[in-house]
Amino acid sequence: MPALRLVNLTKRFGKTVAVQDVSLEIRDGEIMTLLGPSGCGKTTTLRCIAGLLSPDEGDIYLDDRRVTDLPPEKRGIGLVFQNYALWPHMTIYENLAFGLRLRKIPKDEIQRKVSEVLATVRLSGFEQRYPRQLSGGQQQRVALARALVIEPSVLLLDEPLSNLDAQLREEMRFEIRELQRKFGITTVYVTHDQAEALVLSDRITVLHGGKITQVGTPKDIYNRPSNKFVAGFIGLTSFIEGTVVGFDETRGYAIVKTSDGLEVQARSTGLHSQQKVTLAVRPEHIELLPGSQGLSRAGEVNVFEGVVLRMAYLGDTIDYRVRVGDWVLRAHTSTNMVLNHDEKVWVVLSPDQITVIPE
Amino acid sequence: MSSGSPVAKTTIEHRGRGSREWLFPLLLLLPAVGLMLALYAYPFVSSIYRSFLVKGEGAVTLANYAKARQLYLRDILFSLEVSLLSTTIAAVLSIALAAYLRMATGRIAKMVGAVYRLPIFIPFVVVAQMMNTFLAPHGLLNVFLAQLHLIDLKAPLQLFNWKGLTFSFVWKQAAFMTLIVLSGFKMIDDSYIEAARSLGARLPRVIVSILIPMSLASISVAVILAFTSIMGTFTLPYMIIAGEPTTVTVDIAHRVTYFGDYGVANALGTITYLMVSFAAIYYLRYTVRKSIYEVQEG
Repeated sequence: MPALRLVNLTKRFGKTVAVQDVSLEIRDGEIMTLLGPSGCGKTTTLRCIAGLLSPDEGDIYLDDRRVTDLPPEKRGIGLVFQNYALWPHMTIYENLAFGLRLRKIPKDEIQRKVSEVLATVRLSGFEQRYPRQLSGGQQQRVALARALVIEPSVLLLDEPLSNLDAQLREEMRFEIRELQRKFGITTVYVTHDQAEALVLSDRITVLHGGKITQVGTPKDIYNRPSNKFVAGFIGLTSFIEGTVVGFDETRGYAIVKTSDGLEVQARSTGLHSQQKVTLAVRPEHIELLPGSQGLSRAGEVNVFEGVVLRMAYLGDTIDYRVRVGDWVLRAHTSTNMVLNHDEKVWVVLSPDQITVIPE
Repeated sequence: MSSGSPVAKTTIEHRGRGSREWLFPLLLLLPAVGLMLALYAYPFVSSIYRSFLVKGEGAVTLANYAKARQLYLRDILFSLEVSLLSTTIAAVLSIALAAYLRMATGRIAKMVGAVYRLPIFIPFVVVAQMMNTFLAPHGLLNVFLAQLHLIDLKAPLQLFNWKGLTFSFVWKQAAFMTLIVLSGFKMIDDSYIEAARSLGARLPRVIVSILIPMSLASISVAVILAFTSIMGTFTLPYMIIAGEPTTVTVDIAHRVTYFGDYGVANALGTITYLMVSFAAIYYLRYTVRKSIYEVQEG
């Protein structure tokens, strides 16, 4: 049974459709990330789940209980905001005890629960401090503790790491994941940061223009994007467009011919001849061979001659932009391979690592 | 020995330049400070000083204060009570209205948001004239209540006393206080309110536990400014109160107009100032503390 179910959810702001016909099932105990660029409807969806916005159409179910019309205070959902939203006039203890007091829990029990949750987020002894006396990371942990201490059925996190610096953000990703596992709480996480989504999530829902474009595990989303938008949004991708002109039946490859005459082979099923397709290739799946080394492989399947257009040193890799025919491909190589601007190079594409996206 | 002199000379030169630099902003401030001293500080200090002088006698004495106490103690307490009551009622109303305007989004809220400010732009004398018509024994309010069979027009509500005065002050000041309180409420990010609601807080709890404490500074400023303004208002009590007791401001005018007694009038003014200064001190302390805090934060 899904812990949270969205059925044909639609939300409009005037004439703008922010969320359109979104249906989604979030399993008990999983962390589902709503991922997409600004304005894709991810925060609107989250706010509808929280009860802070009323959907125009569709329904929301929590543990099979319809909550669409319930106000936020009756949903039992924990919410963590980008700006932490810790009340500055209350101590950390008072911030955490707020939700428990509303539930009329005895004072001793409140003290015990607050101490426990503070210990879990490694902030024991901070009870009497005020939010302004804490660092950004500590404040975010308190915000998380405040949402968790009421033992909500679902935890919603709205870009909770956006205000932190890069290093802390990376640390907190793992910390949130660990806490979520420890509490076993069903979590919906909103972010536009694909790296964050890949690290944190059990599953990812990619949203674009208010609609779901793909739902899958991080591995699925990264390795088998279902459309050009997902392929482009998650990680770096180079695209080659063409038409299916034949098949290599023995190896199960489709032969795709581009407008400039390149013939690229890629593993695929369910394609038919003359079908227009887009081939998506990740930079780490493109092999570059310097002139002399590549010459010996010229004429092989998916080996093309190219020219280095640009290079950027990324520390652990080098990012090359290489022109092959009419296409510009991005490839990441080890720092040992140094190619120069305008240098001739051979580009090798593995057919098994090309994603074919039918139009 | 020879190496010591140039250093000393440089220090002296530096100090000399420093003092000149310090003097220039002072000169720029002089016109403004001069005007303040001439138009505000001098009359103010002078009126306090003259409150200790009796007409025809040169010696400093407390006679004016004794006379003020003897003749106007009831009015002094009346002024304080009406001011406190009016400020309290206006504060409660303004907080409620500001909370409504902060939280509600509908068409009615927009309309209320546009209309509530009107009393701010109506002068006290006009308010007093309006209230004269509205609160009169056969005025609009009594006629309206009689229509609802809540009162008999043969025995109308008598409102030209502390009740009418309080009503008028609240009517005039609540709008101004709402403006200040609402600006404080609007500065609170939605997420603070939404966090409380997601934890189970209903609207009254959100107002009491989040909105009011987080806007305490704005509310305090609104309360202090309204209290100070009410304490110093002359027109409203002068035109509304029939008979006694009345407010100190009316007594001051009375003392000057009919007796030319500036000594007692100044004593009453000083007493009023003392009552208001408790609020003023808090306000000044708050604004100074806030500016220091802002500098530190910056």
